[in-house]
Amino acid sequence: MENGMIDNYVPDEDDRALDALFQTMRSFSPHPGFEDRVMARVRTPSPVWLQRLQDWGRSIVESRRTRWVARGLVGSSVISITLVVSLLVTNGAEVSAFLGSQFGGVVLGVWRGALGLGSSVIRALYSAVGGGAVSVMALLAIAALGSLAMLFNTWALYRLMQPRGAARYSRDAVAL
Amino acid sequence: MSTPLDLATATDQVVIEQAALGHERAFRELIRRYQRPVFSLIYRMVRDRELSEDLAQETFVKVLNAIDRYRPEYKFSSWIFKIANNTAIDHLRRKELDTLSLEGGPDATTPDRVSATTLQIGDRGETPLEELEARELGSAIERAIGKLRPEYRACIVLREVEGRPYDEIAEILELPLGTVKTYIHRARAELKVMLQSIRE
Repeated sequence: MENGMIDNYVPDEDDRALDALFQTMRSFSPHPGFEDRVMARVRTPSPVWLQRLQDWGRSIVESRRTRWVARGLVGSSVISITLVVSLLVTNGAEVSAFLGSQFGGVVLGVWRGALGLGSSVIRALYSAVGGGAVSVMALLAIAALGSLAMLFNTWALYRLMQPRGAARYSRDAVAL
Repeated sequence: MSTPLDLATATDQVVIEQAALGHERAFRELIRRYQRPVFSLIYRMVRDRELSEDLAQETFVKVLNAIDRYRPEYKFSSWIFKIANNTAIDHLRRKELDTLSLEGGPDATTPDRVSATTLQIGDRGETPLEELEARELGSAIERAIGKLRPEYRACIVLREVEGRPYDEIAEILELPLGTVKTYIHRARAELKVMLQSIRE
């Protein structure tokens, strides 16, 4: 009943005066620094990528997979360094020309010194293995060892990516 | 490469999505957008500047800490006003329980007894904050609104000052639409009487 009356209500002079007074009402602001005071009490969630990284780090520590991480990192580093050094040594002339044209004498001198040192180390290794020239068997052995290292690292990384307890779960599933 | 999002011109929904992803800039943008209306509503409800700051802060902390639980099918403004109003009403209820009557003890039945139990407060000078409050809330309309019942006050402020539609006020105050219309009608009638007596 009252709702119907409200909907059909016709404003009078007093209503218009009241509306005019409402128009004079303004919005109030809190004291300056309100935003900072609120932010000091708000728990801002970390960005999603950081949360995932933190979860991953925590799961590694909790699952005691640190050994595997260390092995994987060491293996990957050894392979990467070997590849880079091999590339540089086998392309010595090109690297020398590039450094000479770009940076001049000082850097070129340093490069030549490092190359000389590397060559003498490799020569010493060759002579220790037994002869001035590297045999085909030795090269095959090096290639086989490199492949094994690659396989080992791939397996180590695969183990790292597995969710915690997945291996045991799959074993239990097989047993059932 | 994606261009940085201009949060100042983005919709509430976009800003909230960014806040839920943990971007501090989005939290600050929400505070910037709503600090004035939220503070104004609470200030008119409790009529104490310092306390309103605390309650407004409490409102924002509640809202922003629960931003990942916000349901986008509701308007963000309704959600934040609802929390602000509930925070203010909770405070007024607590205050009502704690208030010592200044107009005589509850067992005072005779004028002498009322006079004997009335709490006497010395005339102390106004602090700068009280002066500011008197200036801000001292106009006839502000004083008249301050005399309304809290539920009428919330309705009239949301409708006439913040310009919220009836259905949103019903959602904010968790009242039926008809009740909101009735409250606003009655509040206006009371205000007209109060302001008429001031004019006469």
